[in-house]
Amino acid sequence: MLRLALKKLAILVPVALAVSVLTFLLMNLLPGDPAYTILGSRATPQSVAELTARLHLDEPVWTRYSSWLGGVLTGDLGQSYLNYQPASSLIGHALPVTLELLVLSQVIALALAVPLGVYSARHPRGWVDRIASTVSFGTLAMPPYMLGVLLVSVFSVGLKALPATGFTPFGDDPGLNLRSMVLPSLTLALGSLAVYVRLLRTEMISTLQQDFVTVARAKGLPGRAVLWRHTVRPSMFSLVTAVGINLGSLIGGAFVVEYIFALPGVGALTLNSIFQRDYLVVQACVLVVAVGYVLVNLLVDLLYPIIDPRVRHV
Amino acid sequence: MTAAEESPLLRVTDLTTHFRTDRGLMRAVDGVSFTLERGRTLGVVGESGSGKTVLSRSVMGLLPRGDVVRGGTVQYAGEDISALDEDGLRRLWGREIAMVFQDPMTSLNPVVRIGRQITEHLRLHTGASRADARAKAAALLKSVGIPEPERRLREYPHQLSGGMRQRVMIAVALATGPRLLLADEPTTALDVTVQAQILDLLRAQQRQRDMAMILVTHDLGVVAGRTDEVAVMYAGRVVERAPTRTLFTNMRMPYTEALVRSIPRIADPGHTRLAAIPGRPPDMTRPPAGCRFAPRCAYARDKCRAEQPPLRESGEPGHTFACWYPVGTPEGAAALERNRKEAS
Ligand SMILES: Nc1ncnc2c1ncn2[C@@H]1O[C@H](COP(=O)(O)OP(=O)(O)O)[C@@H](O)[C@H]1O
Ligand SMILES: [Mg+2]
Repeated sequence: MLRLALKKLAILVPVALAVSVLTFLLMNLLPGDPAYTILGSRATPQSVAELTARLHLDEPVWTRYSSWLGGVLTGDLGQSYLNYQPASSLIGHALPVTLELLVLSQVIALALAVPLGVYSARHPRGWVDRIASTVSFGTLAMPPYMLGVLLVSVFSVGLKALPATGFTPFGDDPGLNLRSMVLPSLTLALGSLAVYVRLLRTEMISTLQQDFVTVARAKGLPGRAVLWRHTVRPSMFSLVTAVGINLGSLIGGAFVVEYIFALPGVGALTLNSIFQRDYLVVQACVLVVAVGYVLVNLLVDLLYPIIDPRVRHV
Repeated sequence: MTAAEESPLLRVTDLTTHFRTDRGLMRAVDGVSFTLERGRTLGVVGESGSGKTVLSRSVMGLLPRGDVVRGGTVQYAGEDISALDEDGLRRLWGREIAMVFQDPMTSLNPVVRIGRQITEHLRLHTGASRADARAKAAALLKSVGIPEPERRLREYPHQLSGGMRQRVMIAVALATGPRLLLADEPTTALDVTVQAQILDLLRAQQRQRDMAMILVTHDLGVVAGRTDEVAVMYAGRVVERAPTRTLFTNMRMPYTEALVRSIPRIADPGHTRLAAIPGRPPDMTRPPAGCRFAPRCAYARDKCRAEQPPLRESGEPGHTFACWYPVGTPEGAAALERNRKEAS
């Protein structure tokens, strides 16, 4: 178990290196010069040259990359060109927002998907199944920003029940924080929901055909034990796998959702930094996301043996 | 004696189970009657598709929900249980009537430990404490021949071989001390060497516990010497029924004769090819008009193809069969002879 975890963790090094090199190169390919962007209307050839030299932007890419890497290895993620704040503190503020968004969205998606999937599987082609599959395909076909706009127009503009934008840190006021997170999390959740319901429904329908479900009935167990212990539990594999795989694309979705709802998360930070050519912050964000992605996958791998004993003894 | 104690443990009367399918009404079980006394064993034998599984599940009331047409009655200890809904049946399932299924590889839940799978209904039905139930489960595993029962209780199904899993399934079925055990091809999925062990185990447990048992199989060789009586099934009906010894020495139904010829003889290594019955069982959405076996029968005459033979007594105690030209009678011999002549 520990050996497996360490082996997976070792992947972190090549992934982080590859991702950071790629980002460095890509950022250099982008048109626009940070010095111009930073100076804005105050830019004169002289001030631009000065700033370029001060930010070491005149040095070759590989020199800048290796000095950045040296910094990272000593725990220094660099700082913003714009306001000289350390990238680590910018990320420190943004990361909890993104994590909350991701976790809440998956909690909502699973809380909706499990009962819907279970019910649809038990009553295939019933009205819940039909509505769920129609709505599912609707949300699948719709990009998250459209869903977001739709939800905002219903709940914020129409019903005036929830705020459309604005963010309150959890520490300041948990109630307000949750209210401000409902619509963004729901937007993100709806994107995953369709797939989750389908997967659980399909796997449950095949589990229901299994002999051990009939055995459970023949034991005289109450319906809920037959359902949860002997049908739903053995049907969770594809769902857990999907959540694991989905988290990668979810990070992309979270970026968009943060942008729509003006949440100060890593996504918003990354996008803003890209627009402002704040290279080092972009670099730090991408690194954090890549590391987070690997860690999440590791976590999912570690979860498997807990839900599937067959994996435990290979 | 109360009425319930006087009546046989199981009395099945004119039981029918039909499925509505896209191709029409599938007559899986079509008018089956028999009785089973306490502590006795009945073998139900027939080719694959003859309705044995549907029959045993119908007896238990354990049918899929949905397009099922049911008829006839099942009386258990004097009570008509065929009218009970699933809540009423649950009172009997696992406690009074238990079942061992054909495939031990798929009968156990892969994500639940063996111990839990033996104790869950045990605790439910007997109200035993967790510790008592565990001790009982370990004793059960030991009695069905599983070494190191304590360790096995903590394991998952995939850690056990097929034979071991079927032993576990037998322990599961026996856990609550049922009075009727339905064993549906309990050894079909197992290696030949393991088959005899499991069958002997079932027989021993059945005797020890004075439990009635219905042993379902497609292999007459399995019931020989292991059951008190045998019912031979063909196309959803019982076509011959007799005490086991009588059936083997004095069979009347040509179908039974054909089944006997197809028993694999392990003692006869040079000659292990079976005399398989030619042809296939009829499509039970469109059963033949007369005797359902007639299209495959060497004895069949025009009467067989026109008129369905009723079950009748052979004269020997407890022996009934449904045939117009029975094996071992002058009519049967004559029919066979005339068919041979006409063919050549
Ligand atoms: N749920 C069902 N729906 C429709 N037909 C079924 C169903 N279950 C069984 N059958 C049919 O009933 C017949 C008897 O099946 P079964 O009892 O399983 O035979 P056996 O156990 O003797 O091999 C078969 O032709 C089978 O296809
Ligand atoms: Mg069967």
